[in-house]
Amino acid sequence: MKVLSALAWRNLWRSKRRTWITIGSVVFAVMLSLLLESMDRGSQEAMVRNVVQYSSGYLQVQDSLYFDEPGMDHSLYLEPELEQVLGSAPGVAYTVPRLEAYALAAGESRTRVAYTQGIDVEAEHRFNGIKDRLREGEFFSGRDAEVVLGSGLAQTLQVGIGDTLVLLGQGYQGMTAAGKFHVSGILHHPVPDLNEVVVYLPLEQAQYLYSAYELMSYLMVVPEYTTRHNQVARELSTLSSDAGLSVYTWEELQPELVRTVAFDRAGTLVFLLILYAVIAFGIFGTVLTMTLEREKEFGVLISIGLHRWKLGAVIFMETILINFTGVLIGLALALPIILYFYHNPIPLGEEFGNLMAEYGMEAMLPFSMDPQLFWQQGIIIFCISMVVVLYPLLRVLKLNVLDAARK
Amino acid sequence: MSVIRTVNLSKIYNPDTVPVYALNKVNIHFEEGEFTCVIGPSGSGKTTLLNMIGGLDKPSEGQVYIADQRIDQLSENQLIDFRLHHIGFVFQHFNLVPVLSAYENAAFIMQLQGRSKGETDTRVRELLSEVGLGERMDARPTQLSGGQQQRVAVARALASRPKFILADEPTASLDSQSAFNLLDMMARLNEEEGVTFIFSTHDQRVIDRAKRVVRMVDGRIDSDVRK
Repeated sequence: MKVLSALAWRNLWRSKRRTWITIGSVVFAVMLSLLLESMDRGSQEAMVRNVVQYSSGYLQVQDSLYFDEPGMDHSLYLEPELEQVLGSAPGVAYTVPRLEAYALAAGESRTRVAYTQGIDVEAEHRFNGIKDRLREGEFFSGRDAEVVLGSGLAQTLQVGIGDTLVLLGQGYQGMTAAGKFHVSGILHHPVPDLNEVVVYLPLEQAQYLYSAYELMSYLMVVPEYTTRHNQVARELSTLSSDAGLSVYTWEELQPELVRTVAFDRAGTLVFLLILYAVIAFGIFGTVLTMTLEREKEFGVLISIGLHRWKLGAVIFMETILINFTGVLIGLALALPIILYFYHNPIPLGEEFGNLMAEYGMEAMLPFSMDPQLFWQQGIIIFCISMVVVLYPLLRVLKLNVLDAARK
Repeated sequence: MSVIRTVNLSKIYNPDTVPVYALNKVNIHFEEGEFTCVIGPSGSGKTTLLNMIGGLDKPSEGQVYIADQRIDQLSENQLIDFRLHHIGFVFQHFNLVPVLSAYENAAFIMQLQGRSKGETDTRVRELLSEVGLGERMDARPTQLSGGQQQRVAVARALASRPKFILADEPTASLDSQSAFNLLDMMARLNEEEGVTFIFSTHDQRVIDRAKRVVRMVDGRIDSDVRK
């Protein structure tokens, strides 16, 4: 085996230019696919983060009937001990309670359906920075009966800071929910649909309005690592199943978002497949030249007593060395570039940027640093290269020794 | 003692349409220590005969025996092993491995055979000195002249002490002086060490040095003269 390894190593350097061209094509392939994937994942992560943060959250603990019949009557009451257990479960960073309900909101002259959300302002802000979205006024001054409105709803109802807003709806177990509130702030909600309907109240005031004392619609659970939310969901399910509670992930709560991500992903995959095909043909071209150039040598080596499988092993070792070097260099070169763009996302043009801002997303093209990306793309390109090597291997196995030696 | 024996050896191309006999019922023996030339015009069957004897091609009919072992029935892998252990090859275009030095090329077959490092080293140094390349052991083929490369090829063929050496037009790519030196060396190895050489050639210088000349025409043995 030593002689075969030496042969493989020396063969790599018999045509340095060709070897470096092959390594270069693998490097290029790894870098390009990584950059593309990082950009795509980065955008998806930003989109998911944006939508999830301002709507469902990554995980919710609900009353087991709430998912099918969301309403005040299926609100959640958590024993303080259980809330403590859930909040300190492995992988859980913290929890955010919310009490949600629809109500009629009336200004001086107009009435609209509003989506009211009772929130723990500090916990909510910690999770999604909601206070930073404030455009006018303040996020609750500490006085009684205050609300913060989405700017779209404020405009529709023609109310401003200090104006009175009346909320009328149905509370817990059919109680009438009616209240008069001061508008303490107006925010621009990043989710356009919500901006048209949302009314924020302090959690206690919402509970009072809806006669839902100590209740919440659900407890939002924020995982320490958002990519591990499924693992945390399993953990929470185990802890809460006896209490008649259910745990849902954002994928279960927002199937439309899942479909949007899948559709976006499909487009990228098509592009990646085309890229992989181009890469495969590029590498194949070099391997083909290398094989044809050396056929006579292959024929001679088999003639003098080298088994075909040993010759195949030499070619295999050569390819492994080339591909492995190419993948490593590609990863090493791509890493600082992605790291740079991760910290300095590419700014988008004004028009597109404004559109993104409308959706509450930064006018930037974010990159992902998910470690999975690196080994995944490295392995894919490595596998493609290894599939390409099948050609010279098959060629060696089927080689007509006499024809080859005569060349 | 017969090293090689063929019995009604035939190679037929297009047997179902218009049969072409590259070899036609050839019966021949090669004895140990012979220095034989197989000659004949192009297409006479000399290379085909050498390929059959060397286990590189399979006959359509007939048998090939090497030291009483029938080789035409061996499988592909068995034939590769057989060639590795029993036959030495010298090619017209030297066909050394370009990335290996003269020493490594000569040692290659012994390494494939799994011989010990010490045994290989002693044998290869001895052979390269014998073919006059004791000072050029580290040179790559591209750093050697055609004649020197062919001498390395002979050392490679001899290294594992094969039963015989098949040389296909070994002087065809050499200038006169190199060809003369190579022939001299092979004749000496034949005389002093009893190495069996079988050549296919058109080269009159080789024919003049041979102890036996087999002439082939149309796939048959036309004449077989021992000098």
